[in-house]
Amino acid sequence: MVQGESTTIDPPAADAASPVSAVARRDLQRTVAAALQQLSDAERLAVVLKHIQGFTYEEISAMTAVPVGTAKSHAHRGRRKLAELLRRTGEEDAS
Amino acid sequence: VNCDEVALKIESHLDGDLSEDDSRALAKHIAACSHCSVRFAALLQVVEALEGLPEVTAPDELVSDMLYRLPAYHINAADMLSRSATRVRWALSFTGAAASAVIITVLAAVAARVPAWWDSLGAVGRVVARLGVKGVVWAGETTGTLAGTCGTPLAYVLLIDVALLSAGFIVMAMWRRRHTPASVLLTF
Repeated sequence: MVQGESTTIDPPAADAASPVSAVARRDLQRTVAAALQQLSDAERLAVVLKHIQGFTYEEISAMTAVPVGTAKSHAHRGRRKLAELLRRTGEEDAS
Repeated sequence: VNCDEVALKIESHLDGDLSEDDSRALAKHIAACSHCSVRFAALLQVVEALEGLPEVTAPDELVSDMLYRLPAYHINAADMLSRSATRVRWALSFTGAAASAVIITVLAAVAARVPAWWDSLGAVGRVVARLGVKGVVWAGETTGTLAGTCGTPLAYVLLIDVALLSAGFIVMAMWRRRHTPASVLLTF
């Protein structure tokens, strides 16, 4: 699992490393779920199938009839867009 | 290792595709590079939030609707149109076959019961008849012989005609459209 492996790399940034309360995590999930609507259909499909449904890229490729590399790049671009949208939401909340 | 390469490694890591060694190298770089650490933290936050979301499940109606549509999955509107056109063609062919059967049977009955009429055509007439409407006359003669020599009732002769012609059409359709006997019958 990505989540399991990623615990081996702790981001040094103080904010991200600090424990996140259940409430804050739920808020974050809600924000991400809302931000999903701003992705293109292909990006949203790839991100949802990969990270919410937990399919492999090979499975996603077979399901959506796009090459594995394309499915990957859709998911990667979708993730980067979501991160950017979260950053902007954070800035708006801070201001 | 530059930051662009690390960006790719971060994506692979988040996909769960990075080896242990590469992950360790990535962790080392991230610990030392604030730019990459911010990027990694932002993406990791997204992935963790996504993985905490409940899986999407299809509503029961959608699932049953999809299951209902599955066998017809490959048939689009154009196919449906050509299918109904095929059905009309088949209906016409069948009606034509039945009509020819009736005509053949009548001819057969006439030829079998009124040999004088056949003789009256004369030698030239019979040759022209054989050449011009060879199939009809042949079938008429055959079924007529059947009716005349075996005393087969006219209704049976008609049935045999229809069966023979239908079998011919089915064989032709199977050959031309790669149908199975069942699918040919279903198109009627």
